[in-house]
Amino acid sequence: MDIHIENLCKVYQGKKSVIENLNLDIKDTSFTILVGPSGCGKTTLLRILAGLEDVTSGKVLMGGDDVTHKRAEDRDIAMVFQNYALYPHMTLAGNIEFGLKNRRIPKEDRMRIIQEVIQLVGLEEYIAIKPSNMSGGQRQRVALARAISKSPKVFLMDEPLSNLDAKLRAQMRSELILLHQKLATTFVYVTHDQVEAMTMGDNIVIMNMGKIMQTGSPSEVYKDPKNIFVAQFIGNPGMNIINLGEYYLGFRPNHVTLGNTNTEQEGTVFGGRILTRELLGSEVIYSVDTRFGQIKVKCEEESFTINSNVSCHVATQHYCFFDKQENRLYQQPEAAWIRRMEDYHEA
Amino acid sequence: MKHKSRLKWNPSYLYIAPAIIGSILFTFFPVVYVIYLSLHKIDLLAGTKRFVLFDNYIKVFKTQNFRDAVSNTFVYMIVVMTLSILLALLLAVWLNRTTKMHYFAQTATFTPHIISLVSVSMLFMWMMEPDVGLLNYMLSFLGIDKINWLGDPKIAMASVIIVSVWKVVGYNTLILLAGLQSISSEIYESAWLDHSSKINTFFKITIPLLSPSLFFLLITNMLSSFQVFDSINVMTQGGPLNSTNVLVHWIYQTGFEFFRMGEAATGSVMLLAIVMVITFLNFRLLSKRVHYQ
Repeated sequence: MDIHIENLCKVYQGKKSVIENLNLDIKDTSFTILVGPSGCGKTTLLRILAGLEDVTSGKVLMGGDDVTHKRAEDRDIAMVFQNYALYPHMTLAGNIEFGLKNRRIPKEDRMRIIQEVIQLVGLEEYIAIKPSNMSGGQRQRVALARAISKSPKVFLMDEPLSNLDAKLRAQMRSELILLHQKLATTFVYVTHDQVEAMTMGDNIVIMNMGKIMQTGSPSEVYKDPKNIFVAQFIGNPGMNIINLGEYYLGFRPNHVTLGNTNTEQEGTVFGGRILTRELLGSEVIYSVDTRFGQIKVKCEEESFTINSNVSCHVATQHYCFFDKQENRLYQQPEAAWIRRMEDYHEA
Repeated sequence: MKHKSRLKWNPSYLYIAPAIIGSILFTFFPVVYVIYLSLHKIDLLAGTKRFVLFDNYIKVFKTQNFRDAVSNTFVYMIVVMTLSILLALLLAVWLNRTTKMHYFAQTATFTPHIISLVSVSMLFMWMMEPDVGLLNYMLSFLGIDKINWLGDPKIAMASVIIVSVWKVVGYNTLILLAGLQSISSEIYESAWLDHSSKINTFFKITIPLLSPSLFFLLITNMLSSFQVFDSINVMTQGGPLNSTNVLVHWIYQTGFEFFRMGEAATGSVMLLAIVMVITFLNFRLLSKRVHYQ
């Protein structure tokens, strides 16, 4: 089911607005990720879609129907909560059956659905076990099974992986991608983790302070950031931004070459001193102190040591320009400005 | 002597000694001594004791007064417990909000708990006075005749129960409120999305998740109701016509007004036995239905 959000505003009583005049289209069967720092309004937006929060003004359409004032239980959605929100006094089967029973589904159908969804998440052996005797990953699967059992048109997920350890999170990420392919329904997924956003979503909505900063596919938002916020938020680490008065210059940490190689390529060369060195395995992230301030460099070369002096090279083709309002500037800034940049390095 | 060498000296015995000595002196010894007394006929004037085995028990069971006291105690306990927990549940559900009004109401409900029962009893005696009391005065506006709250054998027990429920309901509400507030709002939202009606959610989600608090209240209210004394002694002295005489008050009367120590001790042993059996049954029958998170 596709979702259409029009001029949506949300203001909590006596506080400043959480969501400001938001417009968004979510395509049917897409895996849409709402991502942003905490307090950006992404969870509020999800709860509005679920019907758990009222809107202050604006409209929400699902599958063409206006559901703005439709009650939560009458919308064709299922929600997975951050802390799973399982019923602790019920077994796995009981947790799933509760909702089915409330919708007066006959017993044989209930049993069949329970069997199906439990098989889907691979918890057959735990059918009579209560959540308190399950691991975090298993509880997460129960929460998913419970959502699937409703066969909703839209799945809403509020940071479902944030309570799991790193290894399990990576595993659940690929399971969720597979699940999305299998169910072929719309997923709306909230996270603050840009890695989750980049790896899982086919449509990313980046939010900040109640506004949408950019929407697009993972590669679009990575390769073509529309503003400084997106440039710095997406990528690990985010884009280096240098303030040069009238303009900002940005370049990705992996587009900086350290050492004296590659100088025949057109671009800028400047010196710096290595402050920190984080070894990730195949790659290293260096913090480098330069004339322009601290920048991050990501490369495969791990031989540079802390406090050693290096020369950095950034090729012209990797430059990203932003104007004073921090929005992307597509035409090349005047040559005079570029010269100023080179002056920096001569000085 | 071989015996002694097996008991190794461990300094930790020294550390727990104060607690052990305290509980031996003030708990174990009195219990054993009461049982010992219940097996004797005691003459306080002559200061003599005569071992009579179960004579006291037989005598006590034959006394109508004692049987009344036991049945009164059960009636009192069951009614006080049921009313105070049900009322507290209603109040807790109502007060489980965070407006200033509700904070005020929470404080107001809890206040009776911090007043001593003797003062509460005195206050209610004044309010329940048939001719000039506040309660009858207010009832007169509704056209209801004067009620002899504490003087009518048919009504006295109900009056005593009203006072006890008024006093205990605030504490029960507080415990249940704490229990309610520990249930996460997401579980309710989840139930909401699961098409659960409000009443269904209350019985299928709230009550089961509140069961540890309810069970705790059941046990503590039961035990304290069994041992009620102050309000009875201040308000009715067990009367009229023995209609409000409860077990502890009966023990007090028999021992310290009629000076029949052997029989009073027998009553105490009976009280102990009843409380033990009920507590045991409680844990046996109910603990499986209580859900601990």
